[in-house]
Parts: sequence; structure tokens; C-alpha cells
Amino acid sequence: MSDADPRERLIDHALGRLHRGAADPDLADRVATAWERGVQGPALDDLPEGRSDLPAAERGIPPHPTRRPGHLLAAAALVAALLGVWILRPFGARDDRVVARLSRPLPQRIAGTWSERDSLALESGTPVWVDGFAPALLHLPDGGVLAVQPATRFTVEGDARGARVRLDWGALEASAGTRELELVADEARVTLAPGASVGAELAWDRPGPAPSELSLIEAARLGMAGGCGRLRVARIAGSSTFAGPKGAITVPPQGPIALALDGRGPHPLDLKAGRELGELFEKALDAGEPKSRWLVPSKADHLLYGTVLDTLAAEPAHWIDFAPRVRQVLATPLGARERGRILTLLTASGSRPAIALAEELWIDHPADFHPDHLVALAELGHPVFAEEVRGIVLHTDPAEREEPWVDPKEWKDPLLPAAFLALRGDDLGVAVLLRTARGWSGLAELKPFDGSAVIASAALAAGGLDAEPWRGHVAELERVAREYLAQGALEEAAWMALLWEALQEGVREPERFRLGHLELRLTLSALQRMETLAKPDAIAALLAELGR
Amino acid sequence: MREHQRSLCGFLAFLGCPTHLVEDLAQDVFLSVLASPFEYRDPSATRAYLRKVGRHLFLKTMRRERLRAPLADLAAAEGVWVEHYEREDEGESYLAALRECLRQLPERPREVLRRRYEEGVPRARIAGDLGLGEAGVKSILVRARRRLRDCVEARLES
Repeated sequence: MSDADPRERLIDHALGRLHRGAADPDLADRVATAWERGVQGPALDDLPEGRSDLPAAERGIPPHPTRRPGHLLAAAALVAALLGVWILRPFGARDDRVVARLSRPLPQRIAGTWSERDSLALESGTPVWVDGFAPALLHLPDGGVLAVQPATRFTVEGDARGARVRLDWGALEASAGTRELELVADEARVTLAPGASVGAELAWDRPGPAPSELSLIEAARLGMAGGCGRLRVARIAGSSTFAGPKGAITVPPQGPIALALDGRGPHPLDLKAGRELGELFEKALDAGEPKSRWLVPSKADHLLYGTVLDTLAAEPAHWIDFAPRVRQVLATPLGARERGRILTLLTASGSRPAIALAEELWIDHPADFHPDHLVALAELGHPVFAEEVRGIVLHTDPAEREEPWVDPKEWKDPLLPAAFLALRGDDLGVAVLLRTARGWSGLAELKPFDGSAVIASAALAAGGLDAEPWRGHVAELERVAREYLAQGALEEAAWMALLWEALQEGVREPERFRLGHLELRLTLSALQRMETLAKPDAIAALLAELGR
Repeated sequence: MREHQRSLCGFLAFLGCPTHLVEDLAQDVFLSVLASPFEYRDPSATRAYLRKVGRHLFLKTMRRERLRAPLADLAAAEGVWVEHYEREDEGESYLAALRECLRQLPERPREVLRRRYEEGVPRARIAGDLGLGEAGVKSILVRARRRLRDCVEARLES
């Protein structure tokens, strides 16, 4: 749609305006409040097309400020306060400490405090957190560049010899400028010769919240900076030296190489399994269309996904070969359903390369994202997808619906998005969920391995995790499971029991409950456990245990 | 600010700013202008200045959010906005002409437009309700918008 005719867009806008009938927003109060708080808006000289072509400058007239007296006073007070803070602070942003410039302001921890500030200038030794959706670029004075992925925490130190980048967690690509560039993570160290570049990821192997879900300060409070596992490096170009506690190697500037740096010292990564996974996945995609709108309806698909996910989780370095393979597949003409199946895999993986691929898909094929994909990504802490999930729920509520005159969204099932919001205490999410729940009574019609049943059930349960609806829903699950058991429908009874068990886990640990992944995870678990639940006694025992 | 906010928000929406960002972006425009040197001339020049800042911030936001602007040439789009819509009356004459042109449309496309724009109903559901294919509804919408565009522009010229 990037070549839309402005005149047609204008008609679209005017039609919306004509039909909208809502009052125009009044921004005066919020702008005044923000101004008095000291918010100044983006700097105009940092604009993509430059400040110089704005009207006042065009006319060559020296501009002068025309502000209201109240604002002048507020601005003067703000300047005085900032000056005071600048003079009194223990660790200032002095120019001689600035070691790099960032492409966008990022949160940086102020040394010795529990505060952070957003800044384009990066001081030596200050931890930085790449937040949000997009990578950030960091320019070093000698021409070196770091492309840092979201949810990465790092520190840059500089001296006369060059820059040293300490990676606390996350991933980045580093290109050395005219001087050496050192990349350090735990005990691992990579030294890039001038002009060389590497891609590096510090694996996050310990349990607990994923760094992407935390702010810089929260993560620091939790002491999550250490013990992150090992550094995985793919050399892109140029000569580099890789060193760990038990040795070092210098790689000449020829050919690609992938290494792991950990307690064993540098050792090459075996990427064969990643290639095989790619081939397996490609063949599976060619196998045919899924039979229902749910993306992974067959057991074979689930088993394939289980294999791929387990292998990638055990050795994320396989992404080095698997990701390009997936990207190749995505570049071929694919239907929305194939892309949907790939998305299911990517969102269930939740790893950084998977999310990067999902982001690429989002740019070109947003319509292929189903609510479970969006919710899974929102649950990983992506604000863009969280906003999209909220948009789906808003769109279903006539009272809160966005104006249709701007980019009307296609309707998407709001059940899971509403559950996502409800779990976070959002009133609108709860309201939409309860309204949907009143019109839904399908438990008795559910079939084993029916993805939609899982989604509906999980969503309804999530809406009432600490209230009556949850107890009612569980009672209904138990009743239906026992009915199936009495009728001898063992697979159905086992499925209901496993669904109950999964939701029970959600009640025990709501903060770890992942709605977006539930259908896939539950099906995989069912495939593994159905054999042990093949007898009535085993199912009855599980039901009894859950009822306690 | 109150004098210009409607025009600015409308312009940002016209450029393709996602609905949930329009007000935030307009706020940023006002704050940036407040914080920078600015010389008041007259309402029309102020609107032009706000539009230009808005256009730049919109572009920046879309790049940051990794979204694509629906209109490729924003400067040209601004020209269309000023020439056809904003004029001297902030779009009132354009909307009046559109009202007249809508009355001349046959019942069916008018109903499709109403459901799409007033109720925000997705094309697939409109298609189901009217017993049409989704492509058919899309085609009705495209043709109706084109017809309205020609009609409105002819009225404004006359």
C-alpha cells in the first residue's frame, strides 16, 4: 500500500470523518501538563528531513520564541533545576566520558543510583539497555559500529587503544573501525582486527523471567547480570581472535565460522543438525494444507514442531543455519496458512532469531498473524504486539472502538487477546471475556487435539483466575471429563484432564502462564502422555489428583 | 493549540498514522514547537508549520516502529491535503461536497460504505451479509470511493 493515491486516501479519510460523528480530541490540557512536567518533545534538528527546510528558516527570518508567560516561567525553572542537577551530580555526562553515539535515546543506568535516563550519548562504563521493538545502532569515534538487538544489555568502555564492549546479555553485530574492538562476555573475549566484524549472542540459560520482560533497573535489582552461560559467535568478516579461560585462537580472514566460547575455551559449533532441521521443516511445509484454520491441526505437525523446538532450545546455535533456511522459505510464494504455520513455530520458540523473523513477517504480512501469535509475542514483552492485541479487543467493543476512518482493522477473534488483557487486570479485557463467556458453552462438543477448544478454554479460565468463573469452568471441565470416562471415551477424557491440569498450572503461577503457547505445548504434552493415560484407572487417578 | 489541533490530528490520520498514535504524535508536535524557536505569523502559516513538523515526526515514528507509511510521497500528499481538503475552511466544503455526492450514490454502495466506515464492519462480514464474495465488496468500495472522489473534486472546482 506504499503507493496509495493521496486523493483516494483523502476520500477514505473524509468518509471516516463524515461517518465518525465523534468529538475532536482536546489536547490542550495534556500538552500543557506535559510541558509543565518538563517534557519537550522530539528535537526538531534531529528530524529525518532536517530542520532547515521549515517555513521560518525558509524565509530567512531569525525566529524568536513566542511562549506564554506561564510556560516561560516553567521553562526557566526547568533550566535552573537541570543546571543544579548537572552541577551537583556525582557522575556527570561530561564530553570526555562519552565513548559512542546511539541512533536513538536508550535507557542508561546512572552510576551509583537506582535511576536511569534516556540519552543519545553513551558514557564509558554506563550500562545500556536496548528496549522496544527495533535494534539500535551505536557509532564509535573510530568508525566502528554496533548493531544491537532489542532486549540486550551492554556496556562500552573506551581508551586510547580502542573500545571494549561488555555484553551482559543479548545479541549484537560488531564492526571494528580503524582500531581494534574487543567484545567481552563473562570470561570469553573476542578481539576484532580493524575492519573485522562478528555477530555475537550471549545465551540466556538460567531459569526465571526472560530479560526482554524486564527493564534495566528491574534486571539489575534481580542480579541478573552474571551467569548467563556462553557466548556464541559467528564471524562475518575479517581477522579475529577468540579467547576463553582455556585457550585462544586467531582466525584468519577467510570463510565463515561459528564458535562457542565457554568454560571449554573456543570450539566450533556443529551446525549439521540446524541444516537438517531446515530441510525437515521445508519438506513438512510442502506436505500439504492443514485441514482447519488452526495452524497445526495434525499430530504429525505437532511432532515436527516438537522436534524442531526441542532441538533449537537445546542448542540455539542451530538458528545460525535454521534461520536463513526459514527466511529462504518465506521468500518463496507462500499462502497465508503456510506463513501462519511458520509463525506458530517462531512464536512458540520465543528465541531472539525467531522473534526477529516474526518481526520481518509483521512488516510484510500483518494479516497472517492470528490472535495466538500476537498474544504470544505480546507475552514476550513486545510493546508493538501488546498494542495490537489491545487493538483487537478495542475493535470488538462498540463503546471503545477506534475510529474506523483510519486504517480499519479486519475482525479477529478477541477471546485470547481479551484473556491476555484480563490477566493483566485490564477492565476492558475482563468485560469482553465475560461477555463472550456468557455465549459459550462448548465444552461437551470439544474433540481431542482441537486447538480452538484449548484457546477458548484457556481464555475463559484466564479471565477468572481468582474468581467465580474460574471455579465454574474447572467444575465444568471435571464434569465433562468424568462423563467421557464413564462412556469409555478415554482419549476425550484424557484430553479434558490434561487441559484442566494445564490451566491449574496457570492458576498456581499466573505470571508464568503463557496463553499464546498453550495450545501447542498442551498438544505436545498430550502426544507424549496419551500412552500412559490409555487406561481408565490412570485417567481417574489424574482427575482425583487434580481435584484435591 | 485548540485552534489547530483538529487540523493537525486530521492531517496525521490522513498520512496514515495508526489511530492509537495520532494524539501522542500531535502532542509531540506541539511540545516540539513549544520547545523550539517559533515565530507566529498568521493561522495559515502556523498550520503549515505544524503540518511540516507533524510530517517529519510521523516519518520518524513510522521508521522507529518499523511501519510503512501508506503514502509514498508525503510532501505531495500534503499538497493534496492543502489544495483539496483543508483550504480556508478546514475541510468543511470538502465534507459538504462529499455529503451531496454520497446522496447520488446507488443504495448498495452507500450501504456498504456506511457499514464499513460507520460501523467498522470487516469486508468479509459485509460480504456474508450481502451474499457477495469478499472481492466483490472490495470492488464496490474501490469503485464507490473513486466515484466519490471525482464527484467531490468536480463540485469543488465548480
